[in-house]
Amino acid sequence: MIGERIKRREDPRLLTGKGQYMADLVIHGMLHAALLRSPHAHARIKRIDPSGALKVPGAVAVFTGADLKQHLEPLASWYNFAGKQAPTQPHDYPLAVSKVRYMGEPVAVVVASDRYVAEDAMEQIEVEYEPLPVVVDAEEAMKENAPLLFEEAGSNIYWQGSFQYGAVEQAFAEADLVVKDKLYFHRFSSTPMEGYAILANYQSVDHSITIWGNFQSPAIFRLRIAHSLGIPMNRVRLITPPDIGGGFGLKMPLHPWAILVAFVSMKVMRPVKWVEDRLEHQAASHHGSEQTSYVEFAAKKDGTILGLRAKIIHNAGAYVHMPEPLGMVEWSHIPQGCYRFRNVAMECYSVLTNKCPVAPNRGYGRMQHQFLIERMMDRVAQELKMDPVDLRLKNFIRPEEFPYESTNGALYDSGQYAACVHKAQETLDWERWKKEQAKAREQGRYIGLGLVSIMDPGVTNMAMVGLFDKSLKMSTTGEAASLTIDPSGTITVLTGSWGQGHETTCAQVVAYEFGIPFEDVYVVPGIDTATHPVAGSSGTYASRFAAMASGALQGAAAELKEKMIRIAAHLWRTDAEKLEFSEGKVREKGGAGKFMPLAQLAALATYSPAKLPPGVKPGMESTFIYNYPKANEMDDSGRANFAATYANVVHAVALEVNPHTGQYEILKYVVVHDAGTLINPLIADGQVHGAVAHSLGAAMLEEFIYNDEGQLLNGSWVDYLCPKATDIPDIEVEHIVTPSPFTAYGVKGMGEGSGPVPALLAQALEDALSPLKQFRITWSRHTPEKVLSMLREARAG
Amino acid sequence: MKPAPFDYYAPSTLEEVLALLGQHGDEAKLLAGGQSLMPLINMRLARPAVLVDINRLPGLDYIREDDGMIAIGALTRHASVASSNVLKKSCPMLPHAAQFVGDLQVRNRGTFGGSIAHADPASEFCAVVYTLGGEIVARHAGGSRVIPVEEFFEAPLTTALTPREIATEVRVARIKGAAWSFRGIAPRFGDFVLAGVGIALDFDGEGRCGACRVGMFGVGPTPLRAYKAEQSCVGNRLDEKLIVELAELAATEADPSSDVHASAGYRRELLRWLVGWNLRNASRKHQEEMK
Repeated sequence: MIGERIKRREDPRLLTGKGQYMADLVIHGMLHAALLRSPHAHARIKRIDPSGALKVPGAVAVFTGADLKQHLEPLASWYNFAGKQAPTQPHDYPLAVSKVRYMGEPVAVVVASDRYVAEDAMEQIEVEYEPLPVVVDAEEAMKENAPLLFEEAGSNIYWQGSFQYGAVEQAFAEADLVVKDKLYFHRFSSTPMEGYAILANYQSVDHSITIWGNFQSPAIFRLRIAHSLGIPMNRVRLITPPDIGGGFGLKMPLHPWAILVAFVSMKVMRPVKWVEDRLEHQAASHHGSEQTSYVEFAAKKDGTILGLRAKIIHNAGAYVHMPEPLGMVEWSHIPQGCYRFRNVAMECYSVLTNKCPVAPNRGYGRMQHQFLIERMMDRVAQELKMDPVDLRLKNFIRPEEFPYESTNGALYDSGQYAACVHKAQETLDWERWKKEQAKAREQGRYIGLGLVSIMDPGVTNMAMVGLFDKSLKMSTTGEAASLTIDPSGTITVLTGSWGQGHETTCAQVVAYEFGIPFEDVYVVPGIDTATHPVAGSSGTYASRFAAMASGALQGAAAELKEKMIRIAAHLWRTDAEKLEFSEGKVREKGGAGKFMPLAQLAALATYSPAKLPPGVKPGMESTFIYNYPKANEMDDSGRANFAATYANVVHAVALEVNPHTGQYEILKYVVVHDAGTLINPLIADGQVHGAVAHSLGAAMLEEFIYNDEGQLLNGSWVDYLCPKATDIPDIEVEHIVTPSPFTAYGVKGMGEGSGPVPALLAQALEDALSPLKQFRITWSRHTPEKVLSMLREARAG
Repeated sequence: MKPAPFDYYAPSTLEEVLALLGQHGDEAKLLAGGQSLMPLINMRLARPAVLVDINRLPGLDYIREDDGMIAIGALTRHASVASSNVLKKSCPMLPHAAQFVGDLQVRNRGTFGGSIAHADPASEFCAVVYTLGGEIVARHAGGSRVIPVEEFFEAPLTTALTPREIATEVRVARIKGAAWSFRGIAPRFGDFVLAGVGIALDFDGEGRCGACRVGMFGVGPTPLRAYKAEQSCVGNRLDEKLIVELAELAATEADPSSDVHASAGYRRELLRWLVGWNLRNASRKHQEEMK
């Protein structure tokens, strides 16, 4: 059952238009909200007169930042967990108060009988702005005379920190070669089909509120939403509907909009719904993070990498919404990539600018670090005139070194990196393409090959927050599940289910545990904090669910199986040790003797508690909260196991450049992935396909482009170009299975192994053009126009 | 993203349409396939007070040969253009170009007349009609007129149609017998092009160029013709030297601008390459036909 390519149980409903998304949700008496947004990237709000909105027939109420400031607590930050305030922005509310800091920031909310009326009414709100100087570049924002987003803070640097692992100075002193570069990783996002959406329903009778939203992690932020609203946490109920139209991390953050819509519902005493539209999502939801890095790599002449020193500057946008600034320290999952060098120094800056705030986005923070490492590996290879693949093979952590504690305590569980490279080369038919390349060069054509190798870690150990404030002592990685066996013998599973095939994979795990048919297990779609168990870090983010939920399901199943054995032993007046659970029943070991099916045991525990042995509770239900056994707290030197599983992935490509237009065609694309035991390889393949499509989109097409005034120039899908089916090549996926020694079944998280594409294409393009010139590509989005300018530069000599 | 309020009419005769246009003038907008108009009004970038839905008008969905030209009814869907046997025989550049227009859903809804009247400077259909030559039949309450395509496109999204007129038919010159080629470069398949070129040319028995039309799109405020290049072509053999010269010449006749997708310079470079590519392609096709 585990390891079978079972078709996703969710797909029939999604493919026949029966999905249940936020937009499908209707409650009697529901009103609709629309948000008035700032056209300016940075301006003082001199005057705001919302009265005109209420004159539009059907408009019910209008609120501004001043109302929020009067009634709500500001948005929470990680620092609140340590009883502290965030460094620069103590006054962040879901609507701008006195100042707007990015284009699209909401300044007022209107509620009305429907969305059309709400938008008509919104236009009647008068706002007078005094435009202020704008800063969109993070390095500019760090300068002393830069315009300040939060004047009271005196600086745009939200947070800075330096970390040193190993003997970095010594490594650089002993190096034969030090290569340096300034790299830029651009701003894009994975653009889910569905934007944020919230429906809030306040009940004054008991001062409770139910908030439906497409939350990726209601468990983490329920406390913070309750805090802002001033409602006790046990009266705040968060529900994620059965289907989400894509999250990719962007729906993971603390939802300012959930708090806003909830506030409005409290004020108007009616259910209120708000669905973010495409333009709102593109301009003002959250973006993936943008990073400038100054990097140095130290190496020996033989290609041994000694160390890495980097100053990284993270353009956080205008506000820092939890889980930010975590993106700044996500490198801690994979400080040294797949390699053995242990001397790592990171100097990190999270900087506020007049751009949209950033959030997790598939490959959160790690894409940037992988780009940095893989680009610098290529740089070293160029300098030493080594084959870039050979350089990687030379520096890989060896299979026999696992479990491998990396320099900052990240405990890489298992892996066979070189085997993945060999498999990728074989699948791509590397040698044949080398010959094709040579032939093409004789004809004046440019074929390039590329191969990069990265980590695809799963699960965030919240110990990571200690990196930006040592007083934050956390160690949760957990996930929760509850199993109920009913008297008919079918099993109901409550755990987080947010798409990505969780209904299918969880059912596979439970069916495997009890040896019962897949169809007998029902995983309740969606999640409801009133009914579902949660752990401190429950949610779907950081590729965590498969590895953590399996632990919770396995734990709950073990408890139930033990209970059933105890009951049977009692009934049969025999020793529990002589019994086993197998194929849906308790039986005498070996299977030749007595047996009792699980339906009968569950019925007995439900209806006949008097038959139970002493100390065994009635019912057949178990809730299990699993925490990864190797999840520790961060120590004083900044070391912890910051993730839990450490999958790895190799991408290889052959492409051809059109020398006249700079366009390039992907001739062949291969991914070799090792995520340990795969619960369902079909779903794993889909995760790889999606990750590659997202990352190819980023590397080839997608970028949020701002001008100097902070205006987003491509805010619609006419101008912000996501890849379409015609833009994605066939992707050949191969799996190597190196189970984790620490997780249930050896499962590792996966699905974010998309990081390498910008580096991969850079390497392949440099290779393609190498007969003309040895280029150093330091950017992450490779447009045909840039490629053509490289060709022009090469031809000009 | 909801439109501002508007009045909606769905007349079933052309007379009613013309009466509504007469009454509301520039307050009114015609709704045909809606593939450009609906996003504009949903984003409130356009705020027509009156929307006149012409999808119920009978008799405007046709493609036929008429008086040496191809007549295309304004409500003919892109999908019909793409699959029309009449066009494949007499004006193959149009169905060829149709495959690059949007995606299948867009082609099933979008109308030929709508595309021409919308006058996007990067529109494939505007480019083909402009390249091959043609005319637009416009009706108004008082009668009708025929506008030559050279006078039709005035600026981006601006045509010679008055607010009280409706384009009912587009007539395109046949190119049977002429060698032709059409290719644009877009960021993704089906997007508006960064630069595009359509070419139709005749060869005499000696292999010299006769009549020549070089159309360019996405590189100016309207579709353009590379007249200087066309003139330099006539009477000459299309050798590699001439092709390079023509491409250079055409590039000087374009007027591209910069935006988030590409700089003006890049568009011009693409254009230069596309003119050469299309000339070679047309010449190759001609030689194949001769065999």
